Amino acid sequence: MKPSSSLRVKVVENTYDKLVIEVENTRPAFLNSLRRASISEVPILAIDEVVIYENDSVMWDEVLAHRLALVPLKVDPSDYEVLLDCYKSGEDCAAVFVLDEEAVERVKTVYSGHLRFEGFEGAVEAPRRINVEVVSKKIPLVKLARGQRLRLTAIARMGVGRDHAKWQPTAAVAYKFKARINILREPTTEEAEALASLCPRKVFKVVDGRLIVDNLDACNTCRECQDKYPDIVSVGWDDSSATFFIESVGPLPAWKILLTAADILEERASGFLKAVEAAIGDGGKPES
Amino acid sequence: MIIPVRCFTCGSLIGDKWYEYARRVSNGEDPGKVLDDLGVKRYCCRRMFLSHTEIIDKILLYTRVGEVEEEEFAP
Repeated sequence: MKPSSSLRVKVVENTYDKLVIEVENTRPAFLNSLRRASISEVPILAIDEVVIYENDSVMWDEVLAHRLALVPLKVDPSDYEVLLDCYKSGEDCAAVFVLDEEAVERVKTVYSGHLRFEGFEGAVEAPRRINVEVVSKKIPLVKLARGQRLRLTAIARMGVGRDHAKWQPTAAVAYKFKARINILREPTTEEAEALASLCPRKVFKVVDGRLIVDNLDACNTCRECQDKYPDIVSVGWDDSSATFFIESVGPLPAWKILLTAADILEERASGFLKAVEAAIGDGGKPES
Repeated sequence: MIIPVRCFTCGSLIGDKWYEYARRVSNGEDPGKVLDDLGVKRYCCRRMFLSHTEIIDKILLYTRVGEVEEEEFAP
């Protein structure tokens, strides 16, 4: 990486659930800190406390509470800031859900969609009412046999993935370095055909008997080609540019998770800087 | 017992896709193609479906709530 070169980002795919960006002029350590922060440092809502009044089901209270906790909860990205401030201030901001289902005539499946949002309890002060909903209404929680009843109150709180996987806003977050394929010598047509069909990712193509790299982005540097034909190709990668994938479970759009993670890293770095400055301001000498 | 809410490995949401998967596979569709359709891409999530047995249906047969009066258990 040249010192003068600056970071460049290109968006490849941007949907609610998934963000794919190409990053150039970066370092693996930087991407990795973003990845780790996205997974474990972005606070979201998840059910944290369950008060069970009646549970006739075949499932134990604990197991049921665990399943409830894993149900992803969604708030509007604009309302999210209010919750984030609430979390950072250390106040208790709790979203209350109620579930009351009974299998009257036949077996009934209780779904996440049966959870009824009652509102916030505690310190959230919003200009308008914040609505929390489940990401998917079709998650089966438990099945009730005829005559069984389930009655509970569930309280959702903000938390981070570091403490429990239920607060993890992301599924897969990963980055892949840009592959670098060098063709060392011109192969014969036969060799070129064999090499092109050898590659499981179909990176190579033979045009007029010549071997060309057709689809470099597909290469995952498995080096199958290099192992078989070390005299023709060499495969490496450039760790200063990468493709960064981030996949959301649903509580926030993928781009929002990444931006929040970046904000959190920035805050932490400036906090560290202040601490160092303060320490140096005190004379800068270590205590003896 | 019942389909897990999330994939054990990556944490993506799978619970809501189970019943569609089960219905379509029991109608004779190829499990792999159904999973492709549902957007279950990684093999960690795919094995959650392929290796799952919905055993809660069998356990439900052995529940006795409502059939037995409390007095019957009294000493």
